Amino acid sequence: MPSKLKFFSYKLTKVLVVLAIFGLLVFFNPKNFFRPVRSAMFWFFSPIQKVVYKSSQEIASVKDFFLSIGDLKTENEKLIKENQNLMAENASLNNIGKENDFLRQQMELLPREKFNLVIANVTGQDPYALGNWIEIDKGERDGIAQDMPVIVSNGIFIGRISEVGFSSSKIVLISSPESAINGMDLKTESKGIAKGEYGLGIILDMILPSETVNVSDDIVTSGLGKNIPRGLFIGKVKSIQFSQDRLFQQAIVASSIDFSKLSQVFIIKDFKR
Amino acid sequence: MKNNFFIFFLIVAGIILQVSGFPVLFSRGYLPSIVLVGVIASTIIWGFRNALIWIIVTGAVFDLITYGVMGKQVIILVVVAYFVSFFSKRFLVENRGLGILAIIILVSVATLIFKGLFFAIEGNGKLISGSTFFLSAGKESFFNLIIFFIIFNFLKKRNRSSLGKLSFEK
Repeated sequence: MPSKLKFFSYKLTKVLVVLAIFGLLVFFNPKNFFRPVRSAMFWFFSPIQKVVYKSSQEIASVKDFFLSIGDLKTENEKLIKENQNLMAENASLNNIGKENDFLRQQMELLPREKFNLVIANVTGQDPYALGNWIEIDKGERDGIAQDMPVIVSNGIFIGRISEVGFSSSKIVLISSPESAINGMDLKTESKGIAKGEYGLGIILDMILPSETVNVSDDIVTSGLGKNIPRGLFIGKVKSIQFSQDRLFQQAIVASSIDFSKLSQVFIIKDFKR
Repeated sequence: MKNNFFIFFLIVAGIILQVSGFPVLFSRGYLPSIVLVGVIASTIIWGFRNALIWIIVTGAVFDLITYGVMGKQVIILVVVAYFVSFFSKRFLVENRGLGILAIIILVSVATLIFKGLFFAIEGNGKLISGSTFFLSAGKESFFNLIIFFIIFNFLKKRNRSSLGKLSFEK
């Protein structure tokens, strides 16, 4: 048979065979089967990843510095003004601090001292620029388990552990569409589900139309989920809209964290309820 | 054997750079893919048949390192490599003269296919808007092109020396 008339070329057959084999692997997803290989790889590569990550951060900060030279003057003026405002604000915050302690007791928000934290270094990030997840250098051997919440030093919730290896773990960030966390408006106590959305960051969805959410309100975790403590800061409400079916309100939430610049995070291993 | 280790080392180095270096160095929204560029360059230089095994290894290692579902990257990269091979067989792909134009088109279309497949497989039906998609693909293509010329020339030089002859005899 002339080669031109062959229905499947050799190359195409090869491609189809590879696609079929790996398609089956994707379909059945035998996670545990590859776990030892994955753990071994992380054990070996994690130190290298840490070095590459740190070096990249150094380079990025130099790049940011040079890019920001032009803005230094305006930035400086802005900072002087901001400093003045902060000094005034600081005086009033001393009073609010006392009030806050009382409110924490009232709302059962957890002081951070009650967390059993594990510090971890970030070693990698979502390589598709979507900011969906990060990798850390702590895993099973450090007592890390799936679904543990992750915060940054000042108590800001950033995501939770989605997969655990022997010496590393994957954290699904709150900005990922895979993430869904029970959240609430700290001021009005309106509840919703904080989830990631491509291109929009974080959305507090499923808020009943009868509930109130205001722009600039703080959104915190509501503690309804079994593993996530109440009162971890998620972000501030940037804007409010109705869902497409107009059954719920949605608040677009701006996080104060630049996920791409994270270098250390804290995993909440345990907390007092 | 020595050269196979060397290629494996290059693959791992590229993947580590992609996971731990590029996301920090580049802005969110667009990120060049050294893995994709490596696949394009190796397919052109070594040919699809010879590069296939290394493309599978790259995809598998990538899936392992990024906690992905095993096989997803392999599927995406093999499809892209098939397209590249289909294209490079019909057009003169060289880093001089009109060949450069072919390279620009090839890398841009491959980036689009790669991103499209990624969102189709990984996006769970949730897609970013068309304009954002094409804008980020455009920026990524630009950076991919720069990386492509570096990798392409490097692999070509290696291919002329011992590496290609030893590992990829047809």
